Amino acid sequence: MLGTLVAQLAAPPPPAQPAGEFTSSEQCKECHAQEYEEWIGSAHANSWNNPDVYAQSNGFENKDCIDCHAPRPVFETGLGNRVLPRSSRRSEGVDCISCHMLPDGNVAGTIDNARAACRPVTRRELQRVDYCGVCHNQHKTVDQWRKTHYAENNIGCIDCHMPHRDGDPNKGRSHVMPGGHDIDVVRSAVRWKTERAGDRIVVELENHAGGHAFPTDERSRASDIWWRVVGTEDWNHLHRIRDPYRYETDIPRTLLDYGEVRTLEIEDAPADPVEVMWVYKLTPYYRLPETGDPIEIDEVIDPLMDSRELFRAVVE
Amino acid sequence: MRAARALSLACLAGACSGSDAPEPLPEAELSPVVREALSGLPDPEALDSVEPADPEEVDSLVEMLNTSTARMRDIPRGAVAEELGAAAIPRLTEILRDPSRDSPARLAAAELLSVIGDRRAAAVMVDALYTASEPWIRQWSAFYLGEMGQDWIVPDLLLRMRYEKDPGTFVWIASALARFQNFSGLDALLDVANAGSTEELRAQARGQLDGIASRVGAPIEEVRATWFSIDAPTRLPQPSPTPALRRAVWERVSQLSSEHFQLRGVDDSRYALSRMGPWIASEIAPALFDEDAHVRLHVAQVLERLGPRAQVAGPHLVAAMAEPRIAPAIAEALGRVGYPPALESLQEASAAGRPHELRVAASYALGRLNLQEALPTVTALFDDQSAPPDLRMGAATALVLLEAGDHAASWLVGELGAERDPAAAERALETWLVQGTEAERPGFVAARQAWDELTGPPGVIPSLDQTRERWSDRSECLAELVGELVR
Repeated sequence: MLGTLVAQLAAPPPPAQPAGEFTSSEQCKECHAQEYEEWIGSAHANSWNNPDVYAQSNGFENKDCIDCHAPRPVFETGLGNRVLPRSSRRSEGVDCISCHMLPDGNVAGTIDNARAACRPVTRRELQRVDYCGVCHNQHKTVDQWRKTHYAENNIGCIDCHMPHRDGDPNKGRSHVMPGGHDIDVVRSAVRWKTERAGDRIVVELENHAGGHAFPTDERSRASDIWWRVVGTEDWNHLHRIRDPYRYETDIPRTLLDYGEVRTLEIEDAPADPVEVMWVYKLTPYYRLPETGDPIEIDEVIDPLMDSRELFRAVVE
Repeated sequence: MRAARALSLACLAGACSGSDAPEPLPEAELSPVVREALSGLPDPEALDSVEPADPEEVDSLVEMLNTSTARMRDIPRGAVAEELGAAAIPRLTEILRDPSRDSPARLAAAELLSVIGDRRAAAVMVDALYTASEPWIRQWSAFYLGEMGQDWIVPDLLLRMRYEKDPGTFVWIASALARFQNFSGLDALLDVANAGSTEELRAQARGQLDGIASRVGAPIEEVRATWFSIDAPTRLPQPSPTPALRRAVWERVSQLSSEHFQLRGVDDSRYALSRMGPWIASEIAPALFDEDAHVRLHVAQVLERLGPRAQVAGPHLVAAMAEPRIAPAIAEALGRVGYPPALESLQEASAAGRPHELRVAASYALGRLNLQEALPTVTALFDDQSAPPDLRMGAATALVLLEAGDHAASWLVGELGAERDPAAAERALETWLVQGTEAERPGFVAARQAWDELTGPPGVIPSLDQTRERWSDRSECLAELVGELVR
């Protein structure tokens, strides 16, 4: 069967180049310098070059992550559908073209202007949660958001992650898009309380303002609570917050859902003052400083080596 | 198939002439290839339903096996299968899954299921392999799945390899796969044989490796190397896939479609398909013309992962490059498959006037194709200083792959220190630095040493800032040397 088919196949010409094709987000810079400068330092712009992404995706060798880390325009496949991966300018990551390019060669924006070089047309989809969801719901963020009061009140992704510059709608929305890489944004989503109760120390965690679970990305994020007696060096691990990635079939889901208050206890707590620390991790593992090899959690000496501090408190 | 004919006719009509201006695109005729393939294969759910056997009868047989010292070895398997029949499957399934039953009883149930051996029994064993919390149940399930000879479970075995945590289960999955002439588990088996946690486990893996080598009639390292080579179809025993396996394959192909939003399911299917072995290339190549763009894309990626073993699909890939949405992915696949007749198509795809993304993909592919005839094309692409940087990067990488990297080295060093795509420049330069012997390229040893000294500690994942520092340092270091090296 194949032999017959092969005999029928011949090489047709490849597709022709569309007129006025955009080949790089740098082309947007000339007119949109502010947006470009905001974006170039963002996690979106570094979604391809980020060494952690590179390591966790095996150098993108198996192509599993390219679809969202270097996507073709979202409008090409449409809301609710998976994006297609692109083969050029991958080092630009999630770029201007990924979000703004329309299949007809025009550019989606917030105004119509046929006289501008890129001929923007108003597309309200840009503001919709489902728009971000084509990638971010691969890690379930939008599904988590749908269960919150933010969804009920139509407070979407851009309201927190693309705020108006200086809070002024006339100045447009920031393209820095702070999220998990901005520790202040992360910190603003959660709060905690620590107190001594008899021979126990009670630690209460709350996701009070994250519009989704904390942390939201099960592939690479985690969060840990550590404690030690003040004046000593060794940290003790109390709790891990993590959504197991698909290979992690042997660990439970412990995400802190939106609105959830979780109470942890250090039982038989030492009578001496105890220092408690809540850290946030962009990578799920801890590594030996000398070699970078992953280590078990009970081998960790310095929890901050691979983490960022959210809160720290001393319980007398 | 219709698509292929339509494209061929378009060529005959003159659309393939190599004029300077891009020819108009012939409409690639797409069709529901996957749906049609599935409708032509028997539905496995169409097995007759059976009246469950009396549970007490089944229990007594399990009890007999449980207490028998001879166990199944001395019992005629055919007679037992006839005696039990499919009617016993529901009760045996309950026993197998029941953690409150003792281990011998559960093992006897697994053994009896394997003796019954029909599709339903195999499905129970697959379920146990995926869901049993006890590793020993998963190990025995994998073993019996190999014994049962139902080849449709091969994709399930492959996928389980991805998620399994127990090295003992790895051994039996790999062993079962090899019984179906699938040698994708050899790496895992070799790992366990070399570094298993106990001598018993290592011996178990060595025993399976010896058995595979003996059945194939070649040393195991040779079997492994051949499995990944272009010679796999001719030098290794090939399976004769049953309609049930072909259906299982097409069901996996259907899971690549845009109907499925979550990439992880898509990725699982792509993973299993790309480990099915070389026979799959001709089976799924027609799906490059499916009406669903995601199916076309991911099938191209499966062929790409198969590498040279997918050369039989080369003509399909060349024809599929006419479809603009997936043409870049097709070009990438052609490069990795290394299909020499694609040279002309890739050269044309890289020409001015073609879509930028396609040109970039084609430029890399021309390097991977590893044909010196591509040199003039990639040199011209690289020399065009008005071309977008990522196109020149593709051409520079191709020059390196064609061992003509001296021509692009200085530019690559500059790009390593620039902000555009230093990672790609670093990869290309790393390849360039290790080409040739010391005698052929004196000076390279020192350059490589200087380069290596700027590598971070092994295993350490640097931060983005540290990475940028490395790029900058390496660029500076090579900038001093590159003039001398390429002289």
